[in-house]
Amino acid sequence: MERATLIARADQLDLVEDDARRVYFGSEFCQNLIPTENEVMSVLHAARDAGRAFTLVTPLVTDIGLDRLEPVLAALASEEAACEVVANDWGVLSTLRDQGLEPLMGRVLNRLRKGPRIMRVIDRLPEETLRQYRENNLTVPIFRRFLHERGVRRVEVDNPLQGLDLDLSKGPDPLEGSLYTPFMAVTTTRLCPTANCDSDSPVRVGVWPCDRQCRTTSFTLTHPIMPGPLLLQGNAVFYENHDVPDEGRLAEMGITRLVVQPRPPV
Amino acid sequence: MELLAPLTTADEVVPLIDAGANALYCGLITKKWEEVYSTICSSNRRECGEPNFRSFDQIRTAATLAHDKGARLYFAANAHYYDEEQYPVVLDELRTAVDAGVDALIIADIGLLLLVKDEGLPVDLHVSTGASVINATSAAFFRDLGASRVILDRHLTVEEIRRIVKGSEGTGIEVFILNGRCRNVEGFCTFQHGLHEIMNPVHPVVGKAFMAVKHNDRVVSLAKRLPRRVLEALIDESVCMEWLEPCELRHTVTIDGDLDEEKQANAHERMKRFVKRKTQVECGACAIHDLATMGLESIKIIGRAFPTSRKVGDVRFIRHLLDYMATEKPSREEFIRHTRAEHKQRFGVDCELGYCYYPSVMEVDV
Repeated sequence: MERATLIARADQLDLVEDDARRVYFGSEFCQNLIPTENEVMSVLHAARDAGRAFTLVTPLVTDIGLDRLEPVLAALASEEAACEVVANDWGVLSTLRDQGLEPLMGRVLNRLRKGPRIMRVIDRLPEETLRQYRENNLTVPIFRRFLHERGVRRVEVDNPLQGLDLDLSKGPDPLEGSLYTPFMAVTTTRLCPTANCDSDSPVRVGVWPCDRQCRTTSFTLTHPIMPGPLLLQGNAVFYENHDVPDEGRLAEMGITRLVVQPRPPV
Repeated sequence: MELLAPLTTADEVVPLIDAGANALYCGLITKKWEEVYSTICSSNRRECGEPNFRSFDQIRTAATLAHDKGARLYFAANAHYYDEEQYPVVLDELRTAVDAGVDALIIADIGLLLLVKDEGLPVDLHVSTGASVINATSAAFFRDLGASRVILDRHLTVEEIRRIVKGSEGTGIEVFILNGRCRNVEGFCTFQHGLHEIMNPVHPVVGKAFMAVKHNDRVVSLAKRLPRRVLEALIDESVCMEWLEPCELRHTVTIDGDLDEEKQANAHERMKRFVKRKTQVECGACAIHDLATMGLESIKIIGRAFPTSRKVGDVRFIRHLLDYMATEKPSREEFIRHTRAEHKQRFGVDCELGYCYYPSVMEVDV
């Protein structure tokens, strides 16, 4: 099982685990946090100098976000060794292979039910519903063929409380999976409640420019209906799940990489 | 530009079209689907029985009525994903829906989109907002997969929409105009909805009463006269928290950061406003002037769960604004001013920035 560490900021390199063979770097949730070309290249070279591989993670983007990503992707594409890029936007994913980059389908595009509240009803769910909540469309041949045709060989997977029952390696278009731990991404918004949260106006909830207040302020949300606290970091809500299946079970599901997040990745 | 309205029963077809809708959209959960999966594993993102058709005969009747009035009917099968065992079931339902006369299928799962395209069903394919399209490259990507229309995510500014329309030639673009502005990016929100259908053992009776109160114009209108604190206490928490959807829950918020007391208070107020309230009106009507001139194909009203009177009133409201624009040819400022007055008349409240689909337009000083 390959271990990787996901960091969201260039100054978090010291959080990379000793046994990590790969560094994931970037933002999965907000285009305002897309790192600059210089930041990406500096983390890439630091990772490689330490004998680690590099993966860039990218968020859902508007056309302005695509413009921001363009020079970063071009710089990665000019590297001699092919770089992995995690796409969380179909527009981004559709352009990666043509640039000579290795596309990974991100955990935001990889649909699963992840609301922790499900644990209140898990014993009452019909068997077929529970099965659907533990699987998704990654076992559907036409979807896997589609991913293969676009060069996707690896998919990023969150670790929901109800458990997973995937079989990524079966069939003619096999995939490999990367499991994220411990922070499971439950939801995300563009109406970021953290953006400008230090301003004098509480009403400006919407799509506005911000000063990256998410880098200094975060929120913990608790409610008796939830089994534990939700962590609002920037524009994304996470739930912490440390219950990782054992390596044997992960291998059965086709999961060959563990992506460790030392901090919520914002 | 098409005005697309929500439909829950065949009885609503004529009133909604007479009110000004050009097209209607609906979903269906069959008895068989409900028995196997329950409604919370909905095939169309409405995880409870009420807002859904229950038989294809009703769909056929609705399609016939719509076509007789020159309107179109769209059928949603827009769950974010289906698993391998569900695919043949859903595909079979889509074949039946097309046979019943629907004009387009609304789909979010790419695998299903490809399967339907391979099947060659004689029907338009609309990509659901569940696919989270927010740039022109994504819209073109879905066009190349066979979509004739892409429904954009709710969280886009007018300028972002304009750029997508310009850059995605060959596919129609649809955006939201009224109700149901989810707090989260719908396609990326993985919270389960409709859990009350499983949690509450007296569901059929209590559920109908709750939904009636939740969406009844008169109840909501009366409730708005109560002080907000009283209203929120009555509606949000004391009814039964199990009935509330995740975006309606009022969490206890702890702030981790260096904010002084005043800024913390502001941040708490902001978080309170981020919670969805049942009495709010989420509206983007002021932006119609901008949207209508950029080449959009359709604007959509949300609210399959609303009663017929609310749906018809909402359609009349937006149709009036479209007609006003076409006949009076107002300036942008005149249109915004007129829309705000109509909004107040229709809903009994002023527009609120926090509930506006297109707040940059709302900030225009008229």
